[in-house]
Amino acid sequence: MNNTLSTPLQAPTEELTKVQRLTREYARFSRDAAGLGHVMGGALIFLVVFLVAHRPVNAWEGIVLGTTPLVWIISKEWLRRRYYQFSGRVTQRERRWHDLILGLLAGFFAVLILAVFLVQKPIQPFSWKSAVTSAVCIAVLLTMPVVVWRYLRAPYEFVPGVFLLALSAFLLSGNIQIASRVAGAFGIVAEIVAVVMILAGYTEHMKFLKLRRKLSAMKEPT
Amino acid sequence: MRPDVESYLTLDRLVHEPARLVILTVLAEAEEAEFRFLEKVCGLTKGNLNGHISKLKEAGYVEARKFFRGEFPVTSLKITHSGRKALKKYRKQLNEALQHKPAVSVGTRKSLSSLPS
Repeated sequence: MNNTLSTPLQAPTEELTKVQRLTREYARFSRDAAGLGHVMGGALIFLVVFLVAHRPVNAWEGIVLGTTPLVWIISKEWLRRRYYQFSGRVTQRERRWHDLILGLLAGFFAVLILAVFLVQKPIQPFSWKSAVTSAVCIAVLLTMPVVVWRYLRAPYEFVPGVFLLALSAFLLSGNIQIASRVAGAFGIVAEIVAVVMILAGYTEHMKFLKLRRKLSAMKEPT
Repeated sequence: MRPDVESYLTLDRLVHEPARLVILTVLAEAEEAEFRFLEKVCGLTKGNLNGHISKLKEAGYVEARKFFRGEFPVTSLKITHSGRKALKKYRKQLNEALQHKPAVSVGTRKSLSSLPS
């Protein structure tokens, strides 16, 4: 223990404030901040929206592009646990209402996207292939509220995250034409937010490097 | 008893101890924090930190969760509702005590008035 903290009445309270701030900043990397995870997410969203909107995508390419939310979330969580929370895990204080509202909002968007899917899907006689692809699309959309509530809680993650999940639902279920129409119509908004996400991620990463230096400079237990 | 002296004597001694004050301050800023982080931030040895945590656990101010991550045992700590209340009360009492113009230097009073809330 630092000798300067021998008694609270003599203790420099700046030290306590410093520790408090450091903990808060470090804990942000368990939920709100993702640093390079956000840079990667922004780049992936930009790439997927651009490809789907501007060039013809075949079924296999659609499946590969459709898995990007999974790749992004896994990499983001891996970075969080292995890199950003290098000195033991510290979780940010829960904001139950904020998380609940995000989940509900994602649920609303899932229903909206499902409606778009049902309206856009051409009416065809019943076939098992069509039923399976529709089921895949609906299943991916149904996971959206949970995925957003659990993994996409940062404010600038929401819009591109929901958009990417919706594209993923269309691409994985083989509804590539609907995906390219949606990407063409709303892609610009997702791309703008993706750029914001890249910039925010870079800023967070710089803050993390500063935080790591501060933590490394702390005295070892004596 | 003089009210200014009385306010010092009613301070929660469990929280008043500097190491425990830092532990509670750190835990109050997070939902849960692992032992390893506390060790680093508080600069305490494992044994020392364990001792303070045991006292805080006995008082019901913190809760510990033990589990394995792979082969390694991990301890995660969380401040309880009563721990949070005790810390808040301590800060309030200390600030109030200083309003009674106690026998501390102006510099110390100034720095204590900026106690984290």
